[in-house]
Amino acid sequence: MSTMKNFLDIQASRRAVLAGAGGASIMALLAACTPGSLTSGSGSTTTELWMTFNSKEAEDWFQKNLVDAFNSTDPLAPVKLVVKQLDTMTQQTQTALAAGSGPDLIVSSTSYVPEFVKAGYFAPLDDFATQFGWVDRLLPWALETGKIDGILYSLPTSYETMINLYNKALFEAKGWALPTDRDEFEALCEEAVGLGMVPIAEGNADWVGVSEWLATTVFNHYAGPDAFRQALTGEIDFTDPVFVDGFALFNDYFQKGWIGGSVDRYFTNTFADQYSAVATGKALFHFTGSWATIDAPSYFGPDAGNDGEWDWGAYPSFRDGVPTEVWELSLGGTLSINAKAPSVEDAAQFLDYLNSDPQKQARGMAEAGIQPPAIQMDISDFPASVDERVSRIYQTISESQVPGYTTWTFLPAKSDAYVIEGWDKMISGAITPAQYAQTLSETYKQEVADGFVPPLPA
Amino acid sequence: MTSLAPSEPRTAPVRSEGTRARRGMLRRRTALIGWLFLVPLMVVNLAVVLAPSLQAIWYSFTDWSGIGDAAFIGIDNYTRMLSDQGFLSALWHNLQWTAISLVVPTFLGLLGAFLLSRVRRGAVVFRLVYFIPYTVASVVSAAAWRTLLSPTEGFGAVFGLNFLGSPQLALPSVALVNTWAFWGFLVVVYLSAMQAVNPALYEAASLDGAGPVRQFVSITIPNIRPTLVFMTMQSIIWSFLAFDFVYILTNGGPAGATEVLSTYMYRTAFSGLEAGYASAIGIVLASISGVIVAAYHILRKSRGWDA
Repeated sequence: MSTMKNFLDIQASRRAVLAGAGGASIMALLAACTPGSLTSGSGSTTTELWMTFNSKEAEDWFQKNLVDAFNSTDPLAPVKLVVKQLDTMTQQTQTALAAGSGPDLIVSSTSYVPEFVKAGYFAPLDDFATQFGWVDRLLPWALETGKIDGILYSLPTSYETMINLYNKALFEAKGWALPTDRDEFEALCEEAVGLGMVPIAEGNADWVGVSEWLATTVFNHYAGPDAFRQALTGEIDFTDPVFVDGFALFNDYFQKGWIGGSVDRYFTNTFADQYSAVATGKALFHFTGSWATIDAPSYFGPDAGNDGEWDWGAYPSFRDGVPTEVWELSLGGTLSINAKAPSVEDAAQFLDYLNSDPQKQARGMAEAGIQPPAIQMDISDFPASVDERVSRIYQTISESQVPGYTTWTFLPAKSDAYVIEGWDKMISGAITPAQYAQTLSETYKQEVADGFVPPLPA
Repeated sequence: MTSLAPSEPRTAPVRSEGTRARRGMLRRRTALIGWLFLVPLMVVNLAVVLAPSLQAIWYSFTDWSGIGDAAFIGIDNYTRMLSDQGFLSALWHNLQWTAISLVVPTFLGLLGAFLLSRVRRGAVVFRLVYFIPYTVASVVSAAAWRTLLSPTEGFGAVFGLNFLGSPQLALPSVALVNTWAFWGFLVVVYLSAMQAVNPALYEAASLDGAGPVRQFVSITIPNIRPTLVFMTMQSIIWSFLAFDFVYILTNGGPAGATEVLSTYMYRTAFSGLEAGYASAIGIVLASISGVIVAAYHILRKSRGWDA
């Protein structure tokens, strides 16, 4: 009997184990299929936001001064910040949205917004724009970029422009002035080469997108903003000589070693290499954007072991008739609300909070190098601790008479990707400038036909 | 003879039928238990392997961008590969990568294992030293190698070469970094196979006057052939799945010079917004691995390599 009892016990325990194992598996399968996992990322009463930051300092500042500060106002849905890697956040967001999930507040870019909107991923924001008065608060051009077929779907996270970074101390010591046209630019480059310098410190080892900074330079400072706008609106083609010649000119600069030192060095130069080269007098310029003012300053001056002094200026006009003072309109990213967010209203409240206090945002720039949102800001909003050279950038943008256009803000996703990929092939000799323009033209026309082109401000 | 026949199984059939029934029940129960224990793993595999695989097969026949709806386009994605220079270039790079990954690590692995098999003192230390690169995260190894190969410091400065910036040097450079991370693993695997070889064979060969090279060729290689063939198959499969060092060190650059199928697939899906086409590339990648595995099994059976 005892043997039989033990046997039954074993059987019972086996059954229990097996039942448990099978049950757990079925439960896991069922859990994976529950609506909660297919709806909003949080699936709870929080508003989830995925973001990426340039530094831990910026992340901590954002968490404390924006997320925690917002949550302390006792909102119905507190915000939960999830920090992602810069290189992969777009892919993660795209995958999550395709799976019917994703964060409640979605960081994206104007290049992707039209396609996301057509897929029904984003909630319309027009009612909130009226309710919160965003039309009066945000920069009009920036607000326009979030409208697809006249309906607002995204707000900008930050705004930027392109700048020509240089070493002011070196220029003063040499008696040089910033070139305003192509002749002056090339003369200065020749002189610099004679001194063993590299004219433009550039490289895409840390960020492949550097290639589109250069393409943006061609579009706005060789072809000119009018021609670029005409291409974006379809009035002229990207195969127009005004673009092909610009690509050819910059390709020629590459082959002469004026950009990055050589083509192969361009592919391995890091940002540290580029900032150091300008700071130590090994290079004349670094073609970049206002974001460079976050990291570049630490490479200049006694603390960095040199006597460099950073400053910035306008790009020269590379073609007759193109104005010198062209300041590109650029958005660092966009914020939209997931159409499947449990409460679109709660998410909109945080969007409003992010765009509500210019002085706090300016403080973020001074304390953590966070680029300000595209809201109306006055120079008096910037605290005294903000470097004058930084606040001057935003003052310049606001006073700009000739706006330019950045590829990552105004080209659709595939065209923007090709601008980078094709540029690298062109400077490597795999394709000609004309072939580069031709493929860009074909890609862009297809995206125009698909309706994926971001809106241009009036 | 015939008179004894009926009486012999009179009691035995009763016992044997009962035993057979019990044994049959036990076998069925054992099998059932086995299957039930497999249920959790099967559920996980269905959810994360089979279901996505079936989805990928479906999407490979669509124009899906990765965003929104997908439309069926037949075999267009597969026929497109035949004329897609990006795909063909990546495939060619994979073949080059495979050649490097087969020759260099296999040679170094066999050499290292053979030498280690002869070491009596400090063998464990050598094994650890060789194996350490395999245990280091590829992102860490890549960061170190990026500095070592930099044109301004390390080997790049010494030789005056830009290993990762030159379209001609970038692919072999990244493949060799991958070899560095990988060959120590082969050393350990080949060493364990060599240690299973009967020492008497070496003694007999030595008495017959065979030197180390002759012993290696005539005794070691034939005796570790199953391991050698299996690791060769694995190396080919891993070569076609190469992603991490390419992505971290060059991101497929310069100008696509190190683009392999996996990075091309990734870029096509996410930068090019052509998830349907990327799925088709993924199916082709999986098919290549499938063909390699099938070839291995056919060769193993036909040549009796398990023996």
